[in-house]
Amino acid sequence: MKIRLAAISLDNLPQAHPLIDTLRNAVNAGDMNSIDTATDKLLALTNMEHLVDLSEEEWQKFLADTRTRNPAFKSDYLISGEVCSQIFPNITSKMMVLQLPFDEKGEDDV
Amino acid sequence: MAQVSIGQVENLEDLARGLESVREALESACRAQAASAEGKCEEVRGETKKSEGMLESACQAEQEAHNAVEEAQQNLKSAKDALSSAKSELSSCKEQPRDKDGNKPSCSSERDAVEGAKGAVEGAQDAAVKTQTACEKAIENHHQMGQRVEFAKQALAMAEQVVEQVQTECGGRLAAVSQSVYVATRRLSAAQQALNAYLTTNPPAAQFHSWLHWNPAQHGAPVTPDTLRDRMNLSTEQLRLFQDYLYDRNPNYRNLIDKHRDQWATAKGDVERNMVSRKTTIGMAGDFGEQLARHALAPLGGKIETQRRTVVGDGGKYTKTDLLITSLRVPVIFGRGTNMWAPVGGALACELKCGKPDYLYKEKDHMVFQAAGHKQADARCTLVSRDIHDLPPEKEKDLRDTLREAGSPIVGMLPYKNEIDQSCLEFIRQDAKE
Repeated sequence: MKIRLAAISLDNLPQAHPLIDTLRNAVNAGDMNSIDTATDKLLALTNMEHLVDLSEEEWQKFLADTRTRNPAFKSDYLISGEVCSQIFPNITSKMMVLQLPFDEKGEDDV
Repeated sequence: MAQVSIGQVENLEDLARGLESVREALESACRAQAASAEGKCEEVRGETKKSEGMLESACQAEQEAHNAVEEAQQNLKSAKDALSSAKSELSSCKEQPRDKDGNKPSCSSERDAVEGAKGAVEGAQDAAVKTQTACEKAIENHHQMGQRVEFAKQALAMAEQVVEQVQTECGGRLAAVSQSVYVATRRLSAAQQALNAYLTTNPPAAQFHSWLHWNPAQHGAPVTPDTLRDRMNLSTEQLRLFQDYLYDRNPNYRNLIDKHRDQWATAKGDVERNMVSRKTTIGMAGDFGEQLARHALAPLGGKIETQRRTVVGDGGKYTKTDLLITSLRVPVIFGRGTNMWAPVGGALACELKCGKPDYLYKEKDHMVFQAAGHKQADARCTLVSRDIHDLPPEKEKDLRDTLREAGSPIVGMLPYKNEIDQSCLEFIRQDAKE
């Protein structure tokens, strides 16, 4: 599993929000097919200029560092660009960052 | 959740059976131990009796030796008296006057008598010494025999004590185990009653119970593909009951569930919950799919094995067959074509694959390799999730043809991967909902 951190421009936010709602509902319903579909659509929205795929360990470290500064931090799908300023130094304060876990092909099958 | 579940009752049945076998083993060990202690005791008892007999003989021998000493002393005294009187007669003879020719008296017979008496004294002395020595030996022997009897009696007392200890120890332990068996049997009986009552008021649970205890040989007819498909495709509710059952019956599965439940409960945000879901389906869905196939098909045969190794070719390579069911109780038909049915007493081998369509297609070569491990079974198949039907037709045909040629045709009877994932995810979120 990897976690993509990708800047979402303000233009793409209206498209991202319903997909994020769908993804959240799919997770809460335990519907992996819908999770995969929503994930694929969100990945397609991501800005290639501000994009990084972290391993789980790297993301856990990022999360731990963030919570050191802000213990109440929730790992929402969309977070403020400022939180990721160390990962994306050129990110503008108006941008949001999408955090999106995804499986590498075939990883979830048995 | 029911107060008593099917899995918990089966756990109690296992416990009662386990305790019963402990009691049988303990009884058998106690019998062997008691027989050994009794045998040793009997041996020591015989030894004591023998020693007492030897003591009596030694006592008698000592008495006889004392008598012999006394008799030898008497003989010695008589010999000495005889010597004294012979010497006296010789002196009297020597004191006689000379004869007319002036010769002294010859006294030769008196002298001979003295010599003879001296010899007799020596002989009597020898005999007295010998009888005295023999007597001392007899006294020593008597003493030793006395000690031997003492030791034997001590050994007998110890052996009898051991017998008593074995009886006490075994009695105590058997009583404790018997008490446990009694308690377990009563609990089991109460749990079975509670379960029966629960099953009469809860049709889905009763249906699941019947599924679990299916008797395919009941009607004597062959088991058809439709029946097999139905057995592997449970409703959402039945899948949930199966999750409960595995949770109760399988400690490894329970640990896995508890781990994922804890991760779900402690996740602080959507991304973490998303990750827990993904990890759960990777870590659990495979196990669950295998367990489902196993429990659905196990009643078909007398014996079921998982992950049995079969060496393939000469290079030491081997396959692990996911499911091998032998001693089939009823003829089983998986579908049309060769290798798709097995008679009563025959065997059935399956490779299990549960995944999305692309994954199933990607696993083609591995499935072909695995098929080589099925060749000794009458019926062989590659049992996959129904996702196979969602492959593009040309890929589905290619996969089916390839596996048919490999001798282990594809059978798409397992639930869709998404259904299995959903059942697992629903189950780990159970506590969070409650």
